[in-house]
Amino acid sequence: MTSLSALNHIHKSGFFGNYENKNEENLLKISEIKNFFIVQIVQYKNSSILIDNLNIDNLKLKNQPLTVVSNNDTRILWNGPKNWILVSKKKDLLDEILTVFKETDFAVTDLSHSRSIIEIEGNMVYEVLKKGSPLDISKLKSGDSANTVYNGITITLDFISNKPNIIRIFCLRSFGESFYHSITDASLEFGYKCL
Amino acid sequence: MSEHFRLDKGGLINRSKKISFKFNGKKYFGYEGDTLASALIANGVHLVGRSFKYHRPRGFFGAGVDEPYAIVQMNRNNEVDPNVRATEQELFEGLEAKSVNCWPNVDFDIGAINNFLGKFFPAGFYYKTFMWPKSFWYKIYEPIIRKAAGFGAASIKHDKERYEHKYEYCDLLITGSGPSGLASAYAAAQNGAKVILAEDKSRFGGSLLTSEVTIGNQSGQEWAEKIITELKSMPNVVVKNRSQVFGYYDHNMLVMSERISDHLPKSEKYIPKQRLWYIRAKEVIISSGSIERPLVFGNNDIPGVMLSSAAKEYLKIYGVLVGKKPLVFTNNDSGYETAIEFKKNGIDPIILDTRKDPNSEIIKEAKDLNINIKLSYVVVAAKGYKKVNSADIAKISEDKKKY
Amino acid sequence: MLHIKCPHCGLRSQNEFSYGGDATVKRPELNKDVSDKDWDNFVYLRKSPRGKHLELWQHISGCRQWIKVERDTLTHEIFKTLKASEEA
Ligand SMILES: [Zn+2]
Repeated sequence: MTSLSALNHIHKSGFFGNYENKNEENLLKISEIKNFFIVQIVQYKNSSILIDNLNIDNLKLKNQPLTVVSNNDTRILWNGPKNWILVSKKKDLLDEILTVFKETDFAVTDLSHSRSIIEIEGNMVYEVLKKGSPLDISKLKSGDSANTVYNGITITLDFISNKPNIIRIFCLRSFGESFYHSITDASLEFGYKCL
Repeated sequence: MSEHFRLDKGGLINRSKKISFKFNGKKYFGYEGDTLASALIANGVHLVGRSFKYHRPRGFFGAGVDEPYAIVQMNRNNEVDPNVRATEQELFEGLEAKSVNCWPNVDFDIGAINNFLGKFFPAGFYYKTFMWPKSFWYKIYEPIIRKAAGFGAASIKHDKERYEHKYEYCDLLITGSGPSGLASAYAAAQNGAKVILAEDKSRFGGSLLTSEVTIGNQSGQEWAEKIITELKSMPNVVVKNRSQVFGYYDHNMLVMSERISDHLPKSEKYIPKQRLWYIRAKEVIISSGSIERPLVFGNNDIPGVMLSSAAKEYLKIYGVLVGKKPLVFTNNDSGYETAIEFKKNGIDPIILDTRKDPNSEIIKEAKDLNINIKLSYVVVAAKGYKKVNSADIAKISEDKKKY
Repeated sequence: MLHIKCPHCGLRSQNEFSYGGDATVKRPELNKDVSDKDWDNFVYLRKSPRGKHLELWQHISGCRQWIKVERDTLTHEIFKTLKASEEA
């Protein structure tokens, strides 16, 4: 089955905003991430299973706030106490997940089509985020994640890399277009390239 | 019209760049670095508006954010902006502004008749009087009242400018770049703190720009420039001019309005006109200085009556004389600084001091300059209608019961 | 705008939270007869004190957990925050 991505109608490639007479290196790069496999994994309150013994795609869950565990394909974001978001390029992880995270102890929900994901790269990424998010992001770096709001829209930030700055932002799919407008509007001042 | 009240030299304006602007349709000249107020005063214009209820003539009273009178309607890049303070609006080429709250014009204002009918306008007059006859309301009363009420007229067009907001965190927020603001910013920044230094005006330095002081072996102004340059080079410091911190809310949340493009003929594409900052600061230093409090006497709202600190600022920063026969009425030493500045520029001021026998270095300096000082004197009332032309003064009697 | 320390996520701005009311109100026990007066007290009656107040907040745009916040309703000073399961 083919499906339209969340930002299919509005994300167009090209140069926008204040990009003229600027080195392309200094422009922000904005792209839509699509066709990812996303699940939420929640451990029940009364479950006593040790998560240290559980492995998925060679990663272990980590019950530490604002962290990410990752390999090349898969990233597991802390989303709250005993609550994680797993994001992967591997579309066939579900069966493995359901075997590892037994339904007696975990609630596993496929969210693959319920999020829109924007990835921004560039020197001014933090400045763009400051224009809508009340979170002090200055101390967050690659390997961190955080839930917060951007112009009133609840978002999840995944700090992918620091050199260059790459941040992946998730929001509810239905807010995707509004959020995309918010982000691109905030980026106009710096100039951006849509990939 | 030439600038009769501009000194030949002095001030921080850029005299090599002349700027033309229009006020009430008439063309004037000023310089880069002027405010609309300083440029108008340099051209001898003191009547800029009318008061709200009685339509009394209004001039300039302050030189900055404290200005209560000189409120104008701005026209910038085909967009109107109502209720802008002429003392805050920086001059740019092609600026157009006009007076508000007067009809048909500021010189001949029909509403001023209220000034003479004042006795018959008790508070609450409006809504009781215009109820009858009922049929008069829509056609006669309402249109006239609407014309008389309010200051500037808001635009009915969509505002094409960009306005943004931004969240910021810091260890220390300092409001005001006078000597104490600069010194604290510098000390904190050198210790590695993340500092935001906000200055409301376009120039950094605060009172250092208008006072004759030295810090170390430098003039106050040189010292301010040096510190600002150093602060700007530090990665942990954000230095902002034209940025007014105007609200202090719970848990050290402060709000600052940054005027990014108001001083330009038009905003650059994609650059906001103004930006609102929400700043969460660990510590806050309010080094905003203080605003002089006016003295009370009859008709102290006539154009030409103004704060002595403002007169000094027009002289020191803009090289502009607010008048050529100044009368400085004071109850403390600060008025003497203004008088001395006038004297140094070839103008003979008169000082009226309410105090009987004040003694300080600056008073001695004023005496040595042969400034006419009258002690135990007060201004009873200013005289003049559209511009002050004289004042009734009186000596305070020994028992202070009469004068 | 308040700055609330979520026991799970750390200091966050008020706009990530939603307010959940008085945290000291106890629901009448299950499977027991409850008088109309007790129900009325539980559903409608709140103290609305001036001063220290223990209240519930939800970190709705963060970890989505309910937390307890001891706040001064007069000065907005926050004395401490707790996980919902912890007793003040
Ligand atoms: Zn939280």
